[in-house]
Amino acid sequence: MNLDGRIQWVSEDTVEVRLGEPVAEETLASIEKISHWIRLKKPEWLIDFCYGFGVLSLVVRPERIDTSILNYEFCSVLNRPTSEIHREDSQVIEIPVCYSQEFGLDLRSISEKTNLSVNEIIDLHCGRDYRVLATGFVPGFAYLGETDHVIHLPRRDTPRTRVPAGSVAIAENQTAIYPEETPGGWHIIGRTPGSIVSLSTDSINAKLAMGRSVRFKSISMDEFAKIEAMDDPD
Amino acid sequence: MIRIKQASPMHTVQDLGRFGFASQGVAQAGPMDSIAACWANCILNNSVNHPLIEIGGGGLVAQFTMPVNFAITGAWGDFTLDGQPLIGPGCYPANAGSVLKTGWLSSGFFTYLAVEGGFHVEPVLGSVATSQRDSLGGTRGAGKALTSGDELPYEAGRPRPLKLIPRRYLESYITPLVCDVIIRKSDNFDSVATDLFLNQNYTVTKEQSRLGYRLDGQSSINSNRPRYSVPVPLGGVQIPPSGQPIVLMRDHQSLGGYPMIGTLTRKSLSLLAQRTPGKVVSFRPVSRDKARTEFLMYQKLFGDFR
Repeated sequence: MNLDGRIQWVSEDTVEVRLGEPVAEETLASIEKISHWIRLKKPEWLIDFCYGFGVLSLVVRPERIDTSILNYEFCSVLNRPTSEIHREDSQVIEIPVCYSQEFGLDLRSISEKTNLSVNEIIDLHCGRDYRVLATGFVPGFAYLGETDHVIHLPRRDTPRTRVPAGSVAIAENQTAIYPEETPGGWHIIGRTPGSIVSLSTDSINAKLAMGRSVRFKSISMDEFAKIEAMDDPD
Repeated sequence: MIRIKQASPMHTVQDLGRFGFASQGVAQAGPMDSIAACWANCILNNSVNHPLIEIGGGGLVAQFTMPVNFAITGAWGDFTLDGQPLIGPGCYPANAGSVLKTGWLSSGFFTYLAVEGGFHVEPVLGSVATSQRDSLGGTRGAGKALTSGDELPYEAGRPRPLKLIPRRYLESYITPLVCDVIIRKSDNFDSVATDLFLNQNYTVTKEQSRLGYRLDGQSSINSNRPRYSVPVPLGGVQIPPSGQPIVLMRDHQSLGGYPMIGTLTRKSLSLLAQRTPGKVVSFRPVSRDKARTEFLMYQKLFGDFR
């Protein structure tokens, strides 16, 4: 394996590696291997990194690393068998979602666009496991895919200026949860109770990280309120 | 300590930035003009990562409660200490009770204020850098700008004579700026688009924030929109469907869905950050090797550089 042609220096201290097709299983395995290696080895030339849809971006100390060392290091990581990765995150995380119209602000418009009933949309959304394809945008946000092709829709023409925290949404071939209230252009179909990200002074604990799988479970308004009350620190 | 008497939402605590959390979507933040910020710590013999104050747009009034040497760099204008004009970027002694005022600006937008030994601020996720977007950093850790009544502790120091930054290192923030840009290998732009980008003048628009600066040129650039969002670097130049560039600044999002035509060198990014609306900007290609040499020069000069 040789990554040489897939490594590009995009600035003085930032280098990008194209790992493969954005949603391919091999690409997700590659980024899992590399993230695992980074967490374990903490290479001294690495300052920060970020991954999204097939592209790994590394902020480095440019005096300590060049293309050939990077190529060598990553190729030896990627050539290891996948079974070596300790799969602590291998079980599917279940996320409860209340798909009431009060929370699912766009359910009706999606129903019109797709000619599906609201219940069919909910069944399709709950009907499969999703992989975390990328994390970022804001802390705790994970891009999950792929959704059933009959509910693929382009983003809204005009993004909402405020999407409520916990909103579950779809766009293109993906679904996601808004961890905090932010602007957003995805179609909102429901809301999950409680919080999916917590922050301390030295770490972020996000429920959805690279390597994890997710399944959504439909819950009632009563169940939503119950979980929300349990999660509330007050 | 320093007591803030008057402040604006563009006055924040910064250090070199918050690193190690980009994969979780946390902005790196840090100083908009990192060269001027590094000079402030450098001229005081501080570590380059010591907390300092970024003063956007002037208008800060602050009182030193104990004697200390302080440095003031970057954007310049009508600045006084106890009513006496400050003569240029450098380090000055302040007495107990001295009042610093940064009034109207004649050049640039971001001024940096550091004290010997640094301000004492508790880091969040390894950094004090204020990120209003992520509600992280700053005096109370929640990403708030400085406000009147805030107090930042420091160690008292013995006053030393004033020392100015050597003239040869000072930059103009007013003259038309030619930005060095590392052009990206990309399928999203043809040679016509790249030529257009490199051969026209742009003006800085009012749509500027710590996330990005929008520029405006006579002709817009055509690009193909990629299907997926990908990581975007600091200084990256995005071309949205409007065809007018957005340069990504310190609080930029970690992933972006617009095609990128290139990345500004860190020096050009610092100088662009100081340009106010209406200032003229153009771009010229630079090799990554040449950019790297310049970057390493700053790293050597300051001890570290981002």
